Amino acid sequence: MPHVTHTIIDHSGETSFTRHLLPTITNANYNAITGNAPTQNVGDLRLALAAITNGNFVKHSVMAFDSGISPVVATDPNAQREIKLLVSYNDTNGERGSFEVPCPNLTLLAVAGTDQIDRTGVEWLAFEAAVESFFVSPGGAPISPIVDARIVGRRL
Amino acid sequence: MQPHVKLSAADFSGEVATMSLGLPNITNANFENYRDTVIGNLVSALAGITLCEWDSWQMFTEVYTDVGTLPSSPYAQRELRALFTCVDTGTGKKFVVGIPCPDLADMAIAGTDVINLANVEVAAYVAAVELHTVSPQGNAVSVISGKLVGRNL
Repeated sequence: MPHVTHTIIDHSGETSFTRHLLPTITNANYNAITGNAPTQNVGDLRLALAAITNGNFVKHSVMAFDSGISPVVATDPNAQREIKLLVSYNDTNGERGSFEVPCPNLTLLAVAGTDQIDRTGVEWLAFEAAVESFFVSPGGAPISPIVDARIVGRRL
Repeated sequence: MQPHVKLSAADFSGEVATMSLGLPNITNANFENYRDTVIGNLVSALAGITLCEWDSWQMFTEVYTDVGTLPSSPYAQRELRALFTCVDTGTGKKFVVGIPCPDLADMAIAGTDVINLANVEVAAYVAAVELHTVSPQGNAVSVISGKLVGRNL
């Protein structure tokens, strides 16, 4: 379910949160539901909350869509979250960043003699294209280009 | 925290692995495209390079940062909560919503832990919940009661 989560800090400096479920969000009602103005769902709810709590708001965020599907256990024994790809990129402002992809298909991607993966295959190129076309860095600039991807481990 | 999509998958051990990618500004013009097409394409691309299914995902599209200073009232403690009981007006199922650091000047009634729903600020909160939020089943909500409770931690 879509929801808004308000994070509140108390006098001790400890945070907690409260969550309220929102109606189904579409393009047509997106602004009315997710907007932070007093006339919009999230904004009006925040004002009402502020009047009844002694805590202060740290942030509030809207989860606009949940696929509602629970993760299905992988069938391949090589699917382990303890092994990942570390994907490094520059955004279009030149800022460097990275993200991780767990459970890589190393049969497809691994290259003998190095931890850097093969980035020339069709499947990897499709993934790069999907990321570079539609997703952004923490600075809000498009992720472009991906410059490196290598096999790394996870400590836990 | 920026707007992002969070994807989850379960590995062969049954442990949940997650990954996140930042979203651009999501608006009433592109929300449905991302929800219905872009992320689905990403899930398909991930299926091509990993050994897991990435069908479990969530879009976090709006993040509003507030000031976050420590409140001045020493009674602002997360260990105290206002617990509101709500009912789904369609199914009759009940659920609860908890508010930390409740303002007892608004809510407390002598001789009981029951919250004063007639207080102006509490009534405004109840009205906002009933107008703007839904039940876990997606139906309209009615707030039927509230009480003061503690928190174990």
